[in-house]
Amino acid sequence: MIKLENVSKIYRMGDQEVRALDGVSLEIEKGDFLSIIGPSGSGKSTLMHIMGLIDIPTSGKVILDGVDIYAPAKKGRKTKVKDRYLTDIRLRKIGFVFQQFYLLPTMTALENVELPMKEARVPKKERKERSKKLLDNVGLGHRLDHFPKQMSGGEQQRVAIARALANNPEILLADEPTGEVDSKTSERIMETFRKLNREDGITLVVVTHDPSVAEKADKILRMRDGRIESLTHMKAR
Amino acid sequence: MIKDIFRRKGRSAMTIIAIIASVALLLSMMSIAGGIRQNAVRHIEEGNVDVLISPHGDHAIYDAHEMVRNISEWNGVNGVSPNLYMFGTLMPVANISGQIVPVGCIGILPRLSWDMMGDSDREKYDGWFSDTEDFFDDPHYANGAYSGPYTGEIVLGDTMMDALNLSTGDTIKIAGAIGEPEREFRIVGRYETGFTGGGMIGDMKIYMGMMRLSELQDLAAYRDLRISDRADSMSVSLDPMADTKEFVKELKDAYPDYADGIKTKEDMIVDAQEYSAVSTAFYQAIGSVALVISLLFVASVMIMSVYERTNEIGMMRAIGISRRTIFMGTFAEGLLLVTIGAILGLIPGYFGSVAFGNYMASSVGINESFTAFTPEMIENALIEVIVLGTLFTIYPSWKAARMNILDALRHTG
Repeated sequence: MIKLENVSKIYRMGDQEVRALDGVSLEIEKGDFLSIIGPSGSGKSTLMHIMGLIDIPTSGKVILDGVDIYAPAKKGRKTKVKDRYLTDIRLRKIGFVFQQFYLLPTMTALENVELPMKEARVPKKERKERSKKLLDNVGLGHRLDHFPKQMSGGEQQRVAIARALANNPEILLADEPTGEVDSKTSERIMETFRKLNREDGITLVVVTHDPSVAEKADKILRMRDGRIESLTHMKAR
Repeated sequence: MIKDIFRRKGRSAMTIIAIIASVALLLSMMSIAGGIRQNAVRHIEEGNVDVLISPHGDHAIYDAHEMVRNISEWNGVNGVSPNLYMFGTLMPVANISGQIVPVGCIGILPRLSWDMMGDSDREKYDGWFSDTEDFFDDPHYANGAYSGPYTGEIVLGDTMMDALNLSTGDTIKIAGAIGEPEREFRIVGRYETGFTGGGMIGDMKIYMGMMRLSELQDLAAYRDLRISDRADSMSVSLDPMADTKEFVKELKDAYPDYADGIKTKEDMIVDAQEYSAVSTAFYQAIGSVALVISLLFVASVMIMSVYERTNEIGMMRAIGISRRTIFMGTFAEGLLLVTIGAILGLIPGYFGSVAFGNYMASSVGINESFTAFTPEMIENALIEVIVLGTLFTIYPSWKAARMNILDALRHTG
């Protein structure tokens, strides 16, 4: 589903080069539930950003559903892949969940979930129904018209999960999704992820620094110094 | 994103108030400019002068009486009236209290000038020069001085007479310049200037016989009497059925020396509009500067707003919201603020222009309205606000749309 081939990412900070990713190769199959764990600065977030097409690798290939995403830039005279192309892939194929939720404060839970569908030109009636269903699925059917500030951190994160699922993405990328919630809520969020993975077949990649969260996944990828240290397959649950 | 206007109510309200104030000022300035232009044009439109012969520069019309006699006999001509001015010369008048007052003198042939006036203008005069039909006999000189039918007669404006404590029947002395030979004049009439304030602003005119003024000019200029029968301009009133173009053509053929200075009413209106263009541009510039300042305020608020929403914009870009959507959302927000401000600004703009007009009229001391508030003006003001508002909103919108996703997500401002 997503394949990274020898991906490197180098940032320039003044005169210095910082190698955030160093020749990472990785393949994530459809239906995988993978957690990426590692110390701060190990490259786990960079890896997720590159998988989510919000960061461009310095070198290497990113292949999504068999398509080499950055190939047009390498082949032709173009130096960059068009932003519109990447944006459209993110909109339709990838779901994002962030540590800080990033819900729009002026919109209700329902409107927040509707946002990506609106961009994808989903008819109003359909997107309302689907948003309600998604919020119902994450246990927030009774909070449709509530604004983010009227909800707890856990509830806000579940709205963010519902939003990430709005356009039926093939893969859900979560960056420290439990970082801002208590342990009980954290467990509930991970349960929601597991359910989505098992019942709906959604491919999940969760970046975390918390081993107890990482252990909930089927595979654990350990990163260190921009390289993959290990890939552990957990026992079938 | 438009909902963010309501999220930051205080800031949005301040922004709208700034736009309201600038639109009100812009409209007020536009209405004053419009008023000045309108007044200038109205006087020409309502006047009886259909054609004006006004030679350029220092040139004058010589043998003016003969020219008047000739043109008066042409078909379609209702009246001809010559005028002689004292341009650029301070004409002191020693009044009974001994003050020296600079004045502007207009030399006329009183009978012809009276005939040229409309009824409403005539009502402004409580007295006029001695009535005489034989103005062609006007150029009389005896013993080196003018001794025609209007000898010693003069008409003054009311505010000047009040300021100098003069009355009809009083005698005053006028000279071409300080220290030059004086001539004595008797006030035979007083006219309403329309100025209600104190002082003599705009009321510097003294009407006297054209040849008498010529005498004063020549006494001042040459220290002896070389009176010539000259006028600076000549106004012609035509029959409503007369063909103005044909008349002008005949006039140019008959008087080729003055051909360049012949103007129809339309030409005079164009001239008046051109003369008032400078003041119009000045007032519009003041209003536009105020508008630009308020729009800079809008742009600053928008930039601040975009800065505060950096994380949200980063999130939206990450989940697949296009740059176009971000741009349009921010743009619509700014434009909505500008539009609300512009529409609400029409109300204080109207009352502001009336108040400005009244203030200016009272400070200058006139009864006439100084302002004009027209639908066209509102349309122009709205177009200016919306166009400039659009320009000033583009940058913050562009900035929002071009944000780097990762930088925006990591932003901690």
